[in-house]
Amino acid sequence: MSSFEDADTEETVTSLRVTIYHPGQMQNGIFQSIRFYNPEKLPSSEVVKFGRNSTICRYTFQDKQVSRVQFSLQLFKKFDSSVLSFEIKNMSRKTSLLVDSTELGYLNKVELPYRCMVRFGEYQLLVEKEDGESLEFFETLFVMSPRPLLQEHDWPAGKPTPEFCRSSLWCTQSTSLSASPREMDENEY
Amino acid sequence: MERPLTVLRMSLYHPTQGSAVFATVPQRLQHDTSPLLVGRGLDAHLQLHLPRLSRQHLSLEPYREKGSALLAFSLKALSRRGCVWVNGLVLRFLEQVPLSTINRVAFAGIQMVVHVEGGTSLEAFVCCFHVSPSPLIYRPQAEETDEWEDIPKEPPAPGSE
Repeated sequence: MSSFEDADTEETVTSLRVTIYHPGQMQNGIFQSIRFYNPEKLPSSEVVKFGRNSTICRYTFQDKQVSRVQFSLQLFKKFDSSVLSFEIKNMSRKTSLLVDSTELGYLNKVELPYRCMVRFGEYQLLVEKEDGESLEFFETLFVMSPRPLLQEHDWPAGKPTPEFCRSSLWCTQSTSLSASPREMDENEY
Repeated sequence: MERPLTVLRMSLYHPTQGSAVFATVPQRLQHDTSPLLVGRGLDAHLQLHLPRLSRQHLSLEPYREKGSALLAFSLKALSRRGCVWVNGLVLRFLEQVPLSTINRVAFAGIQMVVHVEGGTSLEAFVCCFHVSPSPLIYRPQAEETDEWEDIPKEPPAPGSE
């Protein structure tokens, strides 16, 4: 019997395709440690961190304006659901993370839609999920976009929508926020 | 001024009292904002010595609800073979639920009650452990939580037995 016939049945894996754009990507080498167009299989229990610190983060951005850990992604299942979902959590103390029009503060987390735009600072990440069967692994694939994604995909570049407007002052302040949070923290403590 | 840390008061019980299950459990454990791993493995932050336990059996993850200044926690089952009973729900591999203020948890024969006392620090949280000499959760087959067929369908009312 050949090894082909003897092999375990292959399972499809849940995959995340991340298309990235940053206006300085051609000059600054900020994505030099990311292997584009190279599918990577990761254990399903891994909390995948993105940021500047290469000892902590699986995917690093060579940019001093990026936090040591900017955000994290992890797989999970809702109770009694067979579908694997991804959750994204903002790990930056000072910089907001935008998931479509939802603004996440430090340690806020949200389930990723099947297709969404994730933004912080001048970074734009179009994240697209594809379901798979495997509970053991998931796959990531990074693609660099030569053009800004917001224009390319006609994404609403609107202002973040606050979920909790407890006072008119807060609402006034939040609606004056830029769609691209400019402030970048260092998490140096 | 330093902000007070969120405290997780965790009572633990296993029927084999005097055994080595909780031998390495500290009285107090301070942890950063990464998920706290509970299991048998050396990389577990709370290491419990029980052969039935997975190396990483579950995690307690701090996060913040939108609009809240306090830490909240979610519990995620990380065992492929076992499961985790949380407040009446049986979680299988990768299933996750948010915790409330008082939580009853059972896995691999271990009973655990987690009481969350909110603090305003977002830098870290602290776990305070207490090993109980008597059971914490009264329900049939509380020790069988890692066997699919022995999972209770309905959560009994606390103290109803």
